Amino acid sequence: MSRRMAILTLIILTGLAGACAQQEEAKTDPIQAAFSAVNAALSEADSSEETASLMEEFLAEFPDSEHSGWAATMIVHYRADTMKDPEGAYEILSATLEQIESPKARFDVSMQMLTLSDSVEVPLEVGEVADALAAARPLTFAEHEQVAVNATAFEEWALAREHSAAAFELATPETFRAEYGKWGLSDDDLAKWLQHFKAFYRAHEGWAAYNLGDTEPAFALFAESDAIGIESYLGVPTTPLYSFWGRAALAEGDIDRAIELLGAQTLFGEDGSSDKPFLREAYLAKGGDDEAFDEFLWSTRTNLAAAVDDFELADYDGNTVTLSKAGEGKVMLLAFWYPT
Amino acid sequence: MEFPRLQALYEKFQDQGFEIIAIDGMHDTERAKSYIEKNGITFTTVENPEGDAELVQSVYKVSGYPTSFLINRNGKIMYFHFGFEEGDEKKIEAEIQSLL
Repeated sequence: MSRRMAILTLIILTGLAGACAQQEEAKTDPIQAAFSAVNAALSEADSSEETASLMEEFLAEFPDSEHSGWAATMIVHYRADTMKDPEGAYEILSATLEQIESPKARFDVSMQMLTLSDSVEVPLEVGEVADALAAARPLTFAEHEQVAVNATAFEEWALAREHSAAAFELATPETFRAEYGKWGLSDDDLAKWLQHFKAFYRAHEGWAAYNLGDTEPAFALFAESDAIGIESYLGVPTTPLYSFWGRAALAEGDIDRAIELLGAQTLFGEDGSSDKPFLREAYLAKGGDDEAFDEFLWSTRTNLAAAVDDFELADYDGNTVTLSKAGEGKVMLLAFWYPT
Repeated sequence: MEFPRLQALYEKFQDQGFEIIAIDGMHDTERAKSYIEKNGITFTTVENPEGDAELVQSVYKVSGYPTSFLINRNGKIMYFHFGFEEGDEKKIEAEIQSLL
C-alpha cells in the first residue's frame, strides 16, 4: 500500500513557490537564506541524486528548522522512492532526528521515517509521535493526515480513523491559508486542493472504519468521499478510494462492484499495480480463467479507455496542429509540460 | 529535464507510427523555444494560448506537470502518467510497445 500523502503532491507541485515569498526574510535569517539557495539550486538539479544531496546538505547544516519536514519529505521521495535507497534515507533522517529539539520538526522528520518502515525497521510508534506533538499544541490538518496515513499503513485502525476524521474537520480555507498562505494559491486552486484533501481523508476514515468492523458507516464514508470526488482521468479519484472501497466490496462478496472499482484503479489509478492481486481475486471469484487474466485486463482497459478530446493548437512556427490529424492511425504521446 | 528522454523514445519508435505532441502549460514562448533548440527536440511542440482552465484542466484533468497520456491507434487514451523522473521512461516505453 502506498503511503503517499495527499499533501505531498502539493508540496512537490508548489513547493518551489514558497522560496520566492521568503526572499525578504532571507536577507536576515541564515536558515531562510540557505532554504532559498537550496530552492534555487533545485531547479538546476537534473538527477534525483543531486536533488537528494541538496536536501541532505541542508539538513546537515540546519537539522532543526521549520523546513526540516520539507527536506525530509524530499529525501524520502528522491532517495528512498526514486533511487531505491530507503536504508540511506533512513540513516540520514535518523541522524537528523537526534539533533532536533523542536516538537514540530521532530514530528515531521519522525513521520517521514515511519513511511520507510516497509523496508527499514523504524523504532518509532505512530501514536507516540503524534502524542508528543499534541502535548505541545493541537495538530493541524496536515499533521493529522500524516498520522492517519502512517496509522493506516501500520493497520492501527482506531488511530487512523480518529486522525482522518480530525483532518477532515480541520481542512478549511482558513486553516489552509494560515499554514500555507505564503504559497499564494488562488481561491479556486485552494478550493480544489481542499476538496482533494477531504475526499482523501474520508476514504481513509472509511477504510479504517471497515477494518474496525463498522461495515455500514464504512461504505457511507466511501460514498461520501466519492461524492466529494476530485476526479482524475477516467473518473478514477487521485486518492486510494477505489482501492479501499474495492477491497472492502471484495471482502463483502460484492464481486461486480469490486471488479469495477479495482479494475479502474489497477488500470488507470495512481499506484494501481498494488491492487492487481485483488482484482485477480475478484476475477477468479467471478469464475474467470486464470490463464486469461491478462486478456481480461487488456479488454477491460480498452472498454474503460475514453476517446481523446480533439484540439487544434499552433506550433512555434505558427502552423496549426490538429490532434486527430497528427495522430490518425498512430500511437500518440501527449505531454503537458513546463519548459524549465 | 524530461524532454531529452522523450526525444530518445521518439527517435526509437517514430518509424513504427509513434508521434509526440508536447503542450506548453507555461505560455512562455521564448523560454519554450530556447529549450527546444538547446535540447534538439524534433517532435511536435505547441502552445496553449487558451490557458490551463480551458484545455489542460477541464478536458484532460491535468493537476500537475508534467503529465503524459498515451493514445492508441483508435484515438483512445490507454495510459496516463504523472511526473517524469529517472526510470519513468522505462515504464512509458513498455506501454508504448504494448500499443505499437
